[in-house]
Amino acid sequence: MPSWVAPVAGYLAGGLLTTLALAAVSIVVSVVLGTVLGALLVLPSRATRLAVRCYVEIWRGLPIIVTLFFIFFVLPVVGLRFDTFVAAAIGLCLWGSSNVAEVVRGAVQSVPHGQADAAAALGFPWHGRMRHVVFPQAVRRALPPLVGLVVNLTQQTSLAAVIGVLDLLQAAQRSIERLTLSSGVTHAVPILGAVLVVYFVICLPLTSLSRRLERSLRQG
Amino acid sequence: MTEPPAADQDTVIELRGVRKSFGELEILKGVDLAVRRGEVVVIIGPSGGGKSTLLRCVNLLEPVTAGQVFLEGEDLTGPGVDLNLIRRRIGMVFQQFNLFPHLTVLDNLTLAPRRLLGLDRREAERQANDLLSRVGLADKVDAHPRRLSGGQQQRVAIARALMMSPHVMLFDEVTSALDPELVSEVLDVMRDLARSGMTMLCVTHEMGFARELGDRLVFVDGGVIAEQGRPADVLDDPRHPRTRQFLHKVLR
Ligand SMILES: Nc1ncnc2c1ncn2[C@@H]1O[C@H](COP(=O)(O)OP(=O)(O)OP(=O)(O)O)[C@@H](O)[C@H]1O
Ligand SMILES: [Mg+2]
Repeated sequence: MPSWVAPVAGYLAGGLLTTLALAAVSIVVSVVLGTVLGALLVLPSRATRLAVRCYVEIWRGLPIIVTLFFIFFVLPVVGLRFDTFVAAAIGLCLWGSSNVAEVVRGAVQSVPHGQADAAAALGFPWHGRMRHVVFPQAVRRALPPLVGLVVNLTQQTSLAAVIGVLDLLQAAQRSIERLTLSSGVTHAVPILGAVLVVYFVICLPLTSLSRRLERSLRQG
Repeated sequence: MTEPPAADQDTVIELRGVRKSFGELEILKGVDLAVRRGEVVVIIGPSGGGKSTLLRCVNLLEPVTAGQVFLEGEDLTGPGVDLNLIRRRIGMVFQQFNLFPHLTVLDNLTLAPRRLLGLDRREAERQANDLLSRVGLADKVDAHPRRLSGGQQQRVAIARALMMSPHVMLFDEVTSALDPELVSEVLDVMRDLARSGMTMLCVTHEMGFARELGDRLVFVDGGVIAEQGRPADVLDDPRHPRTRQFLHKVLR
């Protein structure tokens, strides 16, 4: 084994940990916050819906990279300074939670109206209809697209590299640069190959889980 | 219009001058209808005439635009009425069954009595089993709705509504989504119910059922009750030209 491999591998492993931490934080916050926001989007209150709708449209509509630049380079101008990891996490959570909110809203609204009607006719108040009849069905419908979003969020963490977070991709890039400077050989192919395999290994089980969920949903 | 609401406890449902619009479109244009205890009222009429809307105005699944709705003398359109409490006394069965697909047949029946009436599981399940036997589905307690035929699903839906011990039952074309050979099993349950003295308001195209079990036949057209009377009279000798035209089409 060539001598450059061990230190690079160690460096990449550190990057991978950062990537996983960033993904974990973004996923947890996005799913929890997004579910709450999605639930607010189906509330009868118009004012609430409007406020949440604004949040969702803004952060879902912006390219994540623009949001990241904004948080990292623009907010410090008004005195809000974040370290790179926190800035990246905030950006990913804004994007993730607004997308989760849309998935949750869509799932709730895809439950046929007859279900809420039947529950109402039995005497369930609004929250009872939601809790016992609509939400349990919405959760099943929301799961496949939610897993898809989790995969997507994991992939999007690589954007954090552009504001300097030392994630897997950034670690790879720096390794390549250093090897080029020190030995004149880039070793880009094996290093980026490793990066590719790692992302693939993380995301493949999730995409296949999403497919399985979708299939089981179709079979009812 | 200012007389006191049907104080006699014999009137279960009363609609007075009920109007309903969706946006600009007025669907019900002043409906007056009183249903006595134990009476079976059958509603017929052309598609889009407002039959479903009329039924949904009885338990106020659709809020009325004008007019009043009374249940056993209580004005449901008045201020401070808790509709969720009122609806427990009004059972409703839908054309599309609307069973809860994520629950077993047993849980479909016990959900509302347990959550709303506070029945304990044992008692709720005992009542559910009794009702399922009554509609001939005792062996389906643990099945999921999607495993049942349309006729079976609709009988479960009727049993589910009966779990709340309603004082009146609303049926909205409950056999229209069924294969022809499954219609009679549902009508049998409804016949049973009618004979047991249940007050019923049924929208249907089953003229045989209307003639056999209806105490009164109501023809709804253009958002009003165009004609009503004893089923045999209306069916055999309709007065209103629109009724004649409609019956001519469906009985042909
Ligand atoms: N929620 C709604 N919003 C707007 N229009 C509605 C709504 N519900 C019903 N309508 C309209 O009201 C009219 C009457 O509908 P309704 O379902 O009461 O008729 P129906 O007599 O039950 O007809 P059918 O025999 O086809 O069931 C229709 O033109 C329908 O399009
Ligand atoms: Mg209808």
